[in-house]
Amino acid sequence: MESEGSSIIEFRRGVIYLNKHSFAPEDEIAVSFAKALEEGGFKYVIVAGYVAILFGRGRRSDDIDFIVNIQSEEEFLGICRSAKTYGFNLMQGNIENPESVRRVYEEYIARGYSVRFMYRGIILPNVEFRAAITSLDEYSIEKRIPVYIKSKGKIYISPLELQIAYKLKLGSEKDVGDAVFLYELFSDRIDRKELDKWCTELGVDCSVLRRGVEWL
Amino acid sequence: MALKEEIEEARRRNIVDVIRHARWEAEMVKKMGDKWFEARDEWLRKALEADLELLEKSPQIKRALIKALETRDKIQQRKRAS
Repeated sequence: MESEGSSIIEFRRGVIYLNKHSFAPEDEIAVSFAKALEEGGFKYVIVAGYVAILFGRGRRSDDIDFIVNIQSEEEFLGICRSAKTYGFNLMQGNIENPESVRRVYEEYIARGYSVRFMYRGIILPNVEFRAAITSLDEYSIEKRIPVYIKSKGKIYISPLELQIAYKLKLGSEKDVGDAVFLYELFSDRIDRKELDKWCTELGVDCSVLRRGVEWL
Repeated sequence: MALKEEIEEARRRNIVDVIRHARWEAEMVKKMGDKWFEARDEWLRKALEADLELLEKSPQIKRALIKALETRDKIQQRKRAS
C-alpha cells in the first residue's frame, strides 16, 4: 500500500497521496470547502467520519466536519464570502446578507456551536463548521496531515492516532467501525506509542484494535 | 437467558460484526485499490442522486430534514454545554 508508484495510498515525508481516479460527492464537497478556506489563508482540519470515508470506508455520512482557526466575526464574513463563490450556502442564515452572517457568528460560532454549509443546495452531506476552541482542536490543527487526492486537490486531516482514539471514545458501532478500519488500513504507519498516549488521555480501551473478536 | 442478557448478547454480536466488516473493508482497499474506490464512489454518487430526486419531488421532506438537523444540533449543543 505504501511508497510505490502504483499504490492506492502512499506516504512521503509526512504527506499522504490518495491515488484514486474516481471522486465521491463527499470528496467534492470537502475539497471545494477546503479551497474556500485556503483562499482566505485559514488553517483548518477535517475530523471524524469523513476521514474514514476518504480512505474507502463503505458508508455515508451526514456531514464533513471542519474545525477552523478563526478569531473574529470579520474572519467568518471572509470565509462566507469565499465559500459562496464555491457554491456554498449557510443552513442557519443567508450567506448573501452580511447582517445575517454576523447574526450566525454571534449566535453560533462565538458560543462554540457549529454551523452547516450546504454545497449547491445539497442538504446531506453538508459541511459542519466550527471554530477551534478546545486543546484537542488546536492540537489537531497543529499536527494536521496533508492528503493529496489525485488530480483533485489537497485537504488536511486530523492525526490518525488521535482520530482512532477519539472514535473509540465516542463508542457507537459506527465510530468503533471507523476506528478499526483506519487502524487496519494504516497499521504499518500508526505510531503505537502515540495511539496509546491518546487512548490513556481519553480513557478508552484500545485493545479491541489489536485483538481478535473472539474475546468480545 | 434473561432479557437483559439476551440484549447484551445481541449487542456483543453486533459489535463483532461491525469490527469484522471494518477489517474486511480495510483489506479490500489494500487488495483492490482503485477498483474498490470506483465501486464505492459510484455507490455514493447514486445514493446522493436518489436523495436529490426524492427531495426534488417532496419539498416537505426537505423542510423536515433541515428541521431535524437543526434540532439534532441544538440537542448536541445543549449536551456539550452541560
